[in-house]
Amino acid sequence: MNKKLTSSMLCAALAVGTVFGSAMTASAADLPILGAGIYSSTDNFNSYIGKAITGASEGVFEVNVDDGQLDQSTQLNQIDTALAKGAVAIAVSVVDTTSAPTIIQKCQDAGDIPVIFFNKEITDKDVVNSYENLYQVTSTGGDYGAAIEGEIIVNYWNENPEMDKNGDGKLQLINLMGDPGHTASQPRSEHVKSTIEDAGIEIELLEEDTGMWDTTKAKEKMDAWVSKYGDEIECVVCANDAMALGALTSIEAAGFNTEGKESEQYIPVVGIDALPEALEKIESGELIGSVLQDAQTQGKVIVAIANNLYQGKEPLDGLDFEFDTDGSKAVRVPYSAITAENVDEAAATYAE
Amino acid sequence: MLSEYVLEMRNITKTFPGVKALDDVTLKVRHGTVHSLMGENGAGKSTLMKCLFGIYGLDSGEIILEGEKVSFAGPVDALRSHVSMVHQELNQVLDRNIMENVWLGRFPMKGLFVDHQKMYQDTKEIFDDLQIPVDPRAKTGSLQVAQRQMVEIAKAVSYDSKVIVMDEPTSSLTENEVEHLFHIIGRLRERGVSIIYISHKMEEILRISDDVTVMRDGRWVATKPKEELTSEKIIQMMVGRELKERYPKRDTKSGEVILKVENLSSLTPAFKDVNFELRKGEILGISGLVGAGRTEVLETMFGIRAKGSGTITFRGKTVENKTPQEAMKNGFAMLTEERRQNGIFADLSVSFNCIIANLDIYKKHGLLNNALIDKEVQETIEKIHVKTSSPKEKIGNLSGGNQQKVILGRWLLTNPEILLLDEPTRGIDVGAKYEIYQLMNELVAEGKSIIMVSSEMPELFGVCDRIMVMSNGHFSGIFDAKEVTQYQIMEASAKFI
Amino acid sequence: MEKSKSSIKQLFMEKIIYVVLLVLIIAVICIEPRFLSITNFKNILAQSATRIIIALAAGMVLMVRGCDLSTGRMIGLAAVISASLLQTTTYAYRMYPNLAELPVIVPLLLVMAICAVLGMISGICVAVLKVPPIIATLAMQLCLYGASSIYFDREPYGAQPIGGITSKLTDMCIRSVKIGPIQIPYLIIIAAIIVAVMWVLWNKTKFGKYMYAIGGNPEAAQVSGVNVVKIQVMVYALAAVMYAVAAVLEVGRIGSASNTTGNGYEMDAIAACVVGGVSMSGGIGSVGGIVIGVLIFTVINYGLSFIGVNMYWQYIVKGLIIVFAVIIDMRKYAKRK
Repeated sequence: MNKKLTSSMLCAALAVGTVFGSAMTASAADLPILGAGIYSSTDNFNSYIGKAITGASEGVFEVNVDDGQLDQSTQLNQIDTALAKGAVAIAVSVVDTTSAPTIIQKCQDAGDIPVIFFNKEITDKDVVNSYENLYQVTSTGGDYGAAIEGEIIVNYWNENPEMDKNGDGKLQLINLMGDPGHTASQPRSEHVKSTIEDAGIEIELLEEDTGMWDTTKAKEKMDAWVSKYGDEIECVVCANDAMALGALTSIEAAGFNTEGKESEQYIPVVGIDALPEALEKIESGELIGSVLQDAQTQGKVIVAIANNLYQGKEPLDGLDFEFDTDGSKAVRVPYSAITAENVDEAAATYAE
Repeated sequence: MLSEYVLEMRNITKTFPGVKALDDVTLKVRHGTVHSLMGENGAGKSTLMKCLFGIYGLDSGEIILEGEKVSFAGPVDALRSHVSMVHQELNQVLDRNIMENVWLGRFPMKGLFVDHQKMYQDTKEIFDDLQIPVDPRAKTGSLQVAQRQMVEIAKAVSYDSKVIVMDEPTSSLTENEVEHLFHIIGRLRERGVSIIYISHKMEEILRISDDVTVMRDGRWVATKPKEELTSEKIIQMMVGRELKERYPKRDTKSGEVILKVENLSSLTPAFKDVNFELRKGEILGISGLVGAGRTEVLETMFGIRAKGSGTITFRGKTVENKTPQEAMKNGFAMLTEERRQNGIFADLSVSFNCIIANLDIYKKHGLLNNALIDKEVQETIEKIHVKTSSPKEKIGNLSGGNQQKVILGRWLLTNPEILLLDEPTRGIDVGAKYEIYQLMNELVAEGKSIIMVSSEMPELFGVCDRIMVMSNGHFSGIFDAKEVTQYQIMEASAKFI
Repeated sequence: MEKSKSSIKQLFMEKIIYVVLLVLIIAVICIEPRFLSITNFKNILAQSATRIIIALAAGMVLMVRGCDLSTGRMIGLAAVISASLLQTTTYAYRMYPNLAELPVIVPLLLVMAICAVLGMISGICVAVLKVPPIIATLAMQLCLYGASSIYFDREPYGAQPIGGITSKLTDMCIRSVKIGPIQIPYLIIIAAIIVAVMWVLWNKTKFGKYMYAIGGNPEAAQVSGVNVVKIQVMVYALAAVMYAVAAVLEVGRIGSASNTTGNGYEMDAIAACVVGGVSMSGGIGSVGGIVIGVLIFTVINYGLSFIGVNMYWQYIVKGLIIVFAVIIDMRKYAKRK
């Protein structure tokens, strides 16, 4: 009886092992290994780069993108595993940028394996220069797309005089920031405001708080603010699309924006990321715009750099990009503004 | 000049919101004596002890230890002044060995490390002196309750205690173990240690006490040397009225056999081949030492414990009673031994505790109906004389006797034919005991049958028709309660040991 | 005289959470008088609606001496599955491009069934296999997160929130019904119905009484003829079914779902239960208390956002309220001893 149970359990374990084993080693065995990791699958854009890396690696690298689960020690373990498996390069979006030296050390110890940091930039130049085989791939500038987001608002202001609802020449603004622990959070909040002000528009900040990148939290904050200010709000700027969509749900529940730009009452809302769902809303006019961070290109650049280094070539060999001149050894992939006119452009990046 | 008393608690008064728990109570304990403290539950014995140990502050009064006024900040503080307590519920770290429990918090050290050798020797010395046959290195959890209690006493001795308070020390001991305990108490007394002994058991009190103090309703009633007392006198002082009989008279006769237990064995080796019959309207007692398998027999009959083999025939039909639910359906009810552990729902109301086993009958349109429940609970409370401020009162706030009555009430509501009562009067004061006996009499008068396990011999003689004796998991005899002697029962209890 | 004074004090202690809620509301109104509006209270109730359902479910588990750490992830799984089946046919990024538009009830029943089975598994682990509840539901939490992520993060669109939810559902969760002069959001009505059903279940049925009995003293319950194993398994399963309902409502309310939907809800739910007077060791608690517990947290969330207190302070206030509630609770019991 007991023996039977044991043996049947063993069989089951074997079966499971076989299924998983074959699933994990699906790609051809003789390709070099690229150790890739994102800091969390809960960050849409970050995981999207992960996907892009997988896509771009086809036929070049054997890759399995690890999820750091917002935990640096988990990520370090994953890097250890990748190096132990014989990875020829590491591409990682670190959970905590201050732990970059640890990762560098690991790569050095494993035989000067190249490391490519992406999405979250290592800003400490001493760290960047401490290792020759270190490169970075990020989006343009330190503003994380916020300057473009600001420009969308400025353009809208110039083209739609009715945006200044009370005619006081000031922009009554609500700012939903991201998780303050995230590098992009503060710069986005600062740059979007400075871009608007630099264009000569005075801002009256009605509310500013963090929505933690989260749709639900953003919606609930917005519930309170819409109830408090109603049609006094002239613009809602969100540090990502997830929050923009949350804010929009709240605004629409209060009777705004439901008919797109033709709505009787309209509050312009802007986000960043150009998520598919946001694109729909931009097309229908419920959102005025978003900013596309080009995950596809970033993934391609990451894989290309890794491959060049593996083959002993110059890192940017055959690529249309240059390293930034600020000594960060970073390739900057530009953001682009997405509004109703060019939604298709963004949609193309999601097409197969 | 040294006073005659080692400890004096003078004119102690303690008030809680709405209740005067202690009213001008005085307790004087002489050097090297056993001083018994008696009173019904709720008389204020525990409160008085809590005042002694500084768990409660005093409203007025003073405590004098060896001629000096003291006021302890808590049990630990009291220990330092050589006053200690052996609790009813033992607080021991079961996973550690005995000597560590004895010296916990003051391990002998050798530099930075615990000196296990010294700890062992010191413990061994005390154990030898008190004739406690236990290895100090044994794991505490492996000991029996009696042994653990002795360890507690040894711990008190290790603190060089002058006064040791023992709260119901014999409530879970067998006769032999009680003897051993008394022996130890005797040795302590010879060494000049004074014992404050709290117990309900009259026979014990009269045997080992030098002085007896009786309390009632938070007041001091009397302090007398043992020579002047009889158990009737003590009871009279405790209840404040004359209780003619400790066991109520009963004149009903038992009828035909309704339950037959044949070759019943448990699945575990707890007991084997038990045979007996129960008549309608009969109270059958089960006697035996702790561990003889008495509780296990009841639990097996009620489906709490798995049956190994044998048959139970009730009214000519074989019943399986695989689960308590099934047993209840077959007309059985069981009052368990450990009231706190598996009897009451302490944080829930008297009403809830009363109805929980019998919810089906309060339904109206598929939902429970409060009016029906309230009516029935009120009737039950009146029938079984539960003293409670309201049916909504938490049962945990009631005295042990009243809790036991509520649980009995719970089972009566299921209208059982056969009641299995496991130590129904343990830890209950005399007055409540009497009421429970009365209730049992009423039940058999209604034609119900009762099986009662008890460790108190006089109780078995007082209320049962017949007494069955178990010994070490075996059936060892069944006697008519009117004819058998205590000696015969003891003999049968030892038959298979 | 003295007695009536102490009973007033006792009543005050019993109802302390109502006082806390009232004080919070008054405090917010004093700082920002505009807070006193029907819209705001409607918003607070609507925001509380799904949380009340979740907290009641988690509360049931706490009542039988359990603890469910899989709440949030269970909601996440139910959310992604139901959202993927509820996308409008015109939405460009559908998970199942060829799926006809389903009536809301179909995915709802489907996720309720799936969750019932999953809850039952947790219940069996706890009640039959005697795995400590924290461990069993922690394991469940991990498995559920894995499962919902696998379901969610796949071709062609990858880890994108599942949007484009049919208006049949979103309308139900966002719109209101006019009763007399006031608009009442459907969400509030749904939550009120579930609260009423729960109240009856807890107080007027055998199942409810047995829940209290098991929480109060499982051994005594067993001896009193309660089928402890069966009731415990049923509690976990029923709780899971309620999570599924809450998940679908959450999808409608937010208008999208991802594998992070529901993350951390178990802690919110447990905190609300504790503040609402549910004992962590089981057997004590009430439907009303839990509802108030949830409302207290929503008022903090909403009210403090309304007056512009930043998020970090909100965390501190919440933490203090939890400790305060438990201290009061402990005092209530300590007093009796």
